[in-house]
Amino acid sequence: MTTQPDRTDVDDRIELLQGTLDILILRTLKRGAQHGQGIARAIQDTSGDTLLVDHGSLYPALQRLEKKRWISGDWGVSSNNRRARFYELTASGEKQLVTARARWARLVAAMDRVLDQEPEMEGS
Amino acid sequence: MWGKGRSDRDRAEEQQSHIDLETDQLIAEGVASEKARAMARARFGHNAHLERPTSWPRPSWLAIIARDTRYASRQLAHAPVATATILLSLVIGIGVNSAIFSLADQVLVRALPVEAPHEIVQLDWQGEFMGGGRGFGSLIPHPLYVDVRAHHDSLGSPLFRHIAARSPGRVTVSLQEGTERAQVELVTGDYFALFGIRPELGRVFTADDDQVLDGHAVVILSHTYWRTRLGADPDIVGTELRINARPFTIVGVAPPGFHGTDWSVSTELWMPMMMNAFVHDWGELDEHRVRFQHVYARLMDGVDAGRAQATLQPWFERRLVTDMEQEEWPADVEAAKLDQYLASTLAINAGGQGQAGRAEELRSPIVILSAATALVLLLACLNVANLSLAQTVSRSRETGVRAALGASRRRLMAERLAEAGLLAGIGTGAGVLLAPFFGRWILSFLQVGDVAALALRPELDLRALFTAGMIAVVATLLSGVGPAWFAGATEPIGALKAAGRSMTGGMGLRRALVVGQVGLALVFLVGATLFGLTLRSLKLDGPGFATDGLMTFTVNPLNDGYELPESKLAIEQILRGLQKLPEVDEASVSSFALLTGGGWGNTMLVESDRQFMTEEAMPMNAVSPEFFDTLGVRVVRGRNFDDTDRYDEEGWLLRSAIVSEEFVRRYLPDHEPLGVRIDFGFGGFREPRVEIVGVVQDYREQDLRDREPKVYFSVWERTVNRGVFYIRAQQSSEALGGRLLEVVKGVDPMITVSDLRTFDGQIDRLLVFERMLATLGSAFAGFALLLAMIGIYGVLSFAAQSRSKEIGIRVALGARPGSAAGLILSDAAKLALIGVTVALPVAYALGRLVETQLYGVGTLDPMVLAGCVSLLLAVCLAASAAPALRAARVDPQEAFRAE
Repeated sequence: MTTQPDRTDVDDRIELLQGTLDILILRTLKRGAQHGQGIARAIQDTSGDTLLVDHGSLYPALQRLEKKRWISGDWGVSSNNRRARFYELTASGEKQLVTARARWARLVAAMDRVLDQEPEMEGS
Repeated sequence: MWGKGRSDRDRAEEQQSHIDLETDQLIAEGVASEKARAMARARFGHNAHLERPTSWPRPSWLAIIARDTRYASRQLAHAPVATATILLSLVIGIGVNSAIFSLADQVLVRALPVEAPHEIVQLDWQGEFMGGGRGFGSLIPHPLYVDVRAHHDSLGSPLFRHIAARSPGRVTVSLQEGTERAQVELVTGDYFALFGIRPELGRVFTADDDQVLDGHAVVILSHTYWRTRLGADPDIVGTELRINARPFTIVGVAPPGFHGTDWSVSTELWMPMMMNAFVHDWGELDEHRVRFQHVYARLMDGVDAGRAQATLQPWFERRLVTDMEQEEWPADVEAAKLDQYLASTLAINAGGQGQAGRAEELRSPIVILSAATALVLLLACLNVANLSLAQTVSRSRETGVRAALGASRRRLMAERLAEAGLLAGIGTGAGVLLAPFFGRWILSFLQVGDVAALALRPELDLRALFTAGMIAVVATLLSGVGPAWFAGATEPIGALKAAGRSMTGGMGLRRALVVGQVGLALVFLVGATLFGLTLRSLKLDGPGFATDGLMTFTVNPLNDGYELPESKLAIEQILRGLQKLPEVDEASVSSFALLTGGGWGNTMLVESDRQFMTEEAMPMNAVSPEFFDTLGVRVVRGRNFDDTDRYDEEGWLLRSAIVSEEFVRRYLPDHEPLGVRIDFGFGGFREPRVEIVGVVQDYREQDLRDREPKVYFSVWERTVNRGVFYIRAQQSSEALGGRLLEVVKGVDPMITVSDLRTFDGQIDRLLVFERMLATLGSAFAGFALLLAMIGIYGVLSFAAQSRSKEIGIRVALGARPGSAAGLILSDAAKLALIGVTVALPVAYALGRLVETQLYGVGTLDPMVLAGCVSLLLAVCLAASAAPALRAARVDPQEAFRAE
């Protein structure tokens, strides 16, 4: 209910596809340990505010990744002295990022090929 | 596990920290600080409240129960008055019920602590006995016991494994500390074998102890007596105990827990039946027309009481005929009475409960109390149902909302169940915990003087506790869940709509419950009033003479080693000693104690212008000439006893009698009473020997309800085995009691004094049951009134609230603002009147049942009924005052806005 005003401001933002959030998190953490809010902001900022991350939905993803041992989390202190849970990439997480990036690249290439072909019939 | 066992709390903290960090950043980015937090929350999205992800594990049942209990206790705390009332009703309902039913069980149901009590039967002479008796219950003359035994032994297939007789008595025992009275049970040889009692020490009696009259100076001690009086001496067997100044050999100690067959008194000593005449100065064992024994038998396997009775009856009928040839058979028996005698049966009844003895009179009060407490429990359950229903209805909107939000019916039911369960659990638990307290409280009414000897224990019967608890729990759960079922079944939208207008769901049922509560309150009120008035009139009427400054005590010189002639001398010596005390105004002696609930009684042969036998046995006493002056009752005609009314030879020679005014009214209405000759009724028609010399004012001889005609003889014209002294002084006190004891000691230190007490104390003892019924009745009535008040208040508050719109419209249309109050009050009056109308016949019917317990007030006393109904109506109107006021203050605008 309370998300309503926010949403209307950012009509042109893109909601993330299912599963893409995982890659974004892994990629963000590649730059170094970060807490959830930092991750959310980083995704938003680096995508030029195009990708909309509902901050709350980040956490189930974080926990899923942690469970798969691709990332590990621990409590620490943020730059402005707040207690926050920091996540960092594990070795298997790095490997997963490589695999996922490769798969993403294949997916994008495939998507492009489909989307870029000439329309066979236009109109009727 | 999900998230490697991270706790909810940890996750919540993480999310909180997220929002904090975002807020900080937003502020840093220039968002106004008051908006920043809201924005941060908004960005977090719909997950802002710890939402359970799809993979969230199902909470354990323990967690569910804990959560529901938390929720339930919150809900209950929201309605503290209702919750407290429900708990109070449960506590009182369960506590009082288990206490009363535990008592009732001891009084009415419990079997003796003996082997296989269901096999034990008791013989009872049903029909006309043509003789006298001493004691309570099913009395059998000793010769009949002997004959049944002999006849039974001659039968081809035996009916009984054992058969034994017993009779109670009191003896004086000399111990190191001095002499004291002890309760004895005289028993035949088979007694211990019959009940399966094996000795703790030494031996029990056998047929060998049944041989010689007065020839068996042996005694068995109860375990308690052995422990408390004889220091649990392990070498006690074979030593001597002086009983009634004669040495007895202790042959055994009974096992713990066995106190004889009369549970109303704890037997301390057992003696062979052959010693009967040594214990009592009456009751020779060969008397056919005097009965004082209880006869028990243990049935053989496969024999039931019916078959045993059928087998013995033909023999018993023959014996009835041969018994008429005995020399004691009265002359000139009326034909009708003879027919009744010949139609007598020897009934064989269940005997496993033993005797109730003088606690027999406890039966009615206990039955009444049991019925009353069952009603209290019913009332408590009604109350619980009413309040639960009220809560369900008042929450129907909340329930509707939650159902609309997707709460399952199961979920809603579970919550109500948790709530009802919590109430039932706390209420029942507290009731069970408090039950012993109630038990002791109720028993405290019975623990006065003589009655303290009752072997009643404040212990709780687990079955009673369990039953009352179960009823309460089931009632609570039903009343909690039943409405919830319907609540859950309602369509959410419908419930919301209905709730928006007026919540009338369940009102019909609630009103019915309130009517029930009011009705029960009236029943209790009428009952309490009847018993209260009974107690009051009994006290007000009193015994017919002033009791202040009156003291009494008893001596039994025969039990201190005296023979009859010396006993009479000693008693007269004590009397003269008492009369010399300066603080004593009057002193006198009688043979039987006044106002103890029993005494001496016989039918009388009267010879006026004709000879006739009185229908009823009447109370009688033998008194010294100072007796009436001591009591302060006047001899209204003729003369008092004087020094000429004495017979100083051995034995009896009754010559003069004084009768009561009631005797004259009933038996000599048109005849000059002085000079009329009378005699005891049991000797048949003959020349009567005693002349009426005076008429005395009526007063109560045996108990406070006693209205019987009475006959008094001169104590000095009989043998005097016992002296019951009455002393009138300026004031009765302990100091005076000490002086009285010194007088007795001065005559002979060996003489044991018993029952030394003031007369007011004596009357208190007599009113034990009345006081118990009146006090408990008032307590119950108060409780019932309180519940009815709460019920009415609840229903009317609710009605006032739900009708506020209607009232608002009326006021808006020009009705006087106060008129709404009338609406509510008339509603209250209607409920109360229906309750009263329903309850009056019930109150009357119950009143009829307790009529024999009443005194000085009738069941249909219009003043009582009018008073109770008025009080009840006043209480109901008082309870509706607050809701009526609230209705009167309804502001039409407010009422509409609330919609």
